[in-house]
Amino acid sequence: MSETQFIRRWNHEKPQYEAWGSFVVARMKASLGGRLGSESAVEYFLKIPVKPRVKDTASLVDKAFARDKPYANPYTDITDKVGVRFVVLLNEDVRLMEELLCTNDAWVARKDKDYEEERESKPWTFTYQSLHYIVFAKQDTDVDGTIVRADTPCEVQIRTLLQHAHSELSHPNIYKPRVSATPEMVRVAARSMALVETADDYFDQVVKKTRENDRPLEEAKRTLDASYRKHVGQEAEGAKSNTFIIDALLSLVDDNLEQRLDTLIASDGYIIDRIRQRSNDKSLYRKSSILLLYLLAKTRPAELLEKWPLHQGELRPLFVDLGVALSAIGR
Amino acid sequence: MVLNNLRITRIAAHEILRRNDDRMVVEPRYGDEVIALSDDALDELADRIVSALGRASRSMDMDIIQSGTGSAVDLSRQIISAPDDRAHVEVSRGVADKLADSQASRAIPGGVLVVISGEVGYPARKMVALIKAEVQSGFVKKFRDDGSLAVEFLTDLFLTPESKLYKMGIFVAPPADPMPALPKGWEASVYDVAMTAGNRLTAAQYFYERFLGLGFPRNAAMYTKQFHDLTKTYIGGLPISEEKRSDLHNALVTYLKVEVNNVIHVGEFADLYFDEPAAKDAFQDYMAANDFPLQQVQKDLGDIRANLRFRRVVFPCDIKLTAPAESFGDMVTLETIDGDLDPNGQIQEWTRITVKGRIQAQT
Repeated sequence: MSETQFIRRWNHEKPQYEAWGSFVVARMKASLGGRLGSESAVEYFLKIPVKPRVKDTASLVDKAFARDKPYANPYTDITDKVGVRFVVLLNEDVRLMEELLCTNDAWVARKDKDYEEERESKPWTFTYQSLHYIVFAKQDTDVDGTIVRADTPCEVQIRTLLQHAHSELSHPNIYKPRVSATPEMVRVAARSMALVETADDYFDQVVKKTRENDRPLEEAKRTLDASYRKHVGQEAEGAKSNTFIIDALLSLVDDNLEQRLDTLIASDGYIIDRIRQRSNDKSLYRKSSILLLYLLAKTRPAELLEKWPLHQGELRPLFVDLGVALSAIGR
Repeated sequence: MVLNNLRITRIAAHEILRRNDDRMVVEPRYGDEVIALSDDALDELADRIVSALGRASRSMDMDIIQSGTGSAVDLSRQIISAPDDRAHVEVSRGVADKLADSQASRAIPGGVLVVISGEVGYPARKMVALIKAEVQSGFVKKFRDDGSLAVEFLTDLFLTPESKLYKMGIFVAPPADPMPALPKGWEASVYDVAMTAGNRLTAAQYFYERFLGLGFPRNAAMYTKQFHDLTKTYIGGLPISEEKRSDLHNALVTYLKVEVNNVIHVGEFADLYFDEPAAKDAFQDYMAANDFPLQQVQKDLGDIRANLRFRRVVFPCDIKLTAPAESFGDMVTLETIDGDLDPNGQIQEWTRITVKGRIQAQT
């Protein structure tokens, strides 16, 4: 294929690649949203706005013809004609993106570069780290009126925020052969990569430890949310104040929370009606912690009043519902 | 009495007046219609009822003595079967007459009688609550048209949270339909601060006895003994120091024998003698689990006088310390101290006994 033919074909197919790149981004965001629960969570999860980038013609031709390693079929062999980059916070986030990428049925994903595998094969090297996949359209795909042919490739890079910072710094200078890197440059870049890898490890530990510490709270919240859904018949409001209340009362929650809630509702089922009635104009009754409050008002009233972080008046209606004289306890 | 899931259906109110100088009954000033209240006001009213009569309250379950025609329980039965608002108001007038009639002395103040019908419990049972509320005075803030603050003096407030100013009785109907003959299956409970202090019992009599037709349950001595025995067992099993345990045993004697109250109240005992909220809850839980009422019960020391006479502490080798229960707390101190090592090298627990006094005799 001559350069002219190459450029002509590229100009002709460029819109297809643009469409394919947008399609990959949209699909990935959708499945990420399914996993994380909301669009805002997706925006938070992706640390840099994701935009598909189509190679400009000059650098594509440069890569196809001017390099020292010649391609047998430059047009098809160059698989990063369009590229997408997902930047996330943690190593585990990288693996989540990978999982979503590999389970999407719109394309076939082929791994191109895996930094963890490279760490194992070259443990002494600290160099550019990123996870690269090429995804090929499984079949002809209509993207907003543009038909993307089967096997159209798109390069997908997935990396942590720190890996991204490092590559921003070093990638153009060291891995593109325009400037020949001195040993000092390579050494400093390697040292900073080692630092990045170490910091990423620490990030993982921070998250792991936070999660361990939050586990009882998260478990209580999950149990309460599920119980609210089951008994009240609607989703509880996921407000911050809900976590605040559960956290304040966590020392009064024991292992059998789910069973205790079921027992409570079996013996005092009317509280569900009361919750439904009041939930229209009182936000306390739209939070799943309301079930915990009823449970404690019935079983551990004095301790509830001691630990309750808000105004005591908020609890009065609960005690009245349960037929418990609050004034006799709240001394 | 279990007072959960309280729902108020109808409310009527009448004013009861003090007897005149000839000690003749003055006809009440009747209300004509049922009273409509906002949701907030209904919540507040339910709060008053539960605070006075609910679990852990200072109310007392009572026996229904009078159940003939025109008795309070009979009128309550008519109220819960009232077909409409009109009938509710009509029967409640009879209740007002009965209260006015019961106030035999000029010393008894007037007040507002509130007659409430509704439901309670789960599954729900019909109930009637009868509240006599004395009026009090107070101030309200108001804003003038120009936004400035004005204060207004009111002389007719009633049912404020000041619980000394109301008495309350409740009748809960049996769940059965058709209902058995009165008073079978009915439960009654009374709240009246005058019933708590022993010397004022006569002051309360017109309300619980003449008006409501109720009497103290005849099992007071049994309950008192049960309270004593359960609490003693509970104190014996607590994971606390022996000093603290001794204090609690002394407290039990004090509570039963020395306190002037003529009632026993689990929550009151917990409040007086357990410091931590968790310990208060645990004690009340234990008593409730052993079917001891968390409301008030009348105190009757008849069956336990002998138990309360002496406190005994037993040591190994048949060593015993005996002292009059009332003076034990003041005269005797027990302390756990470190003793010698036992054969396994563990420090033994010994006890140091201090008696505030000389030895008077030895045998």
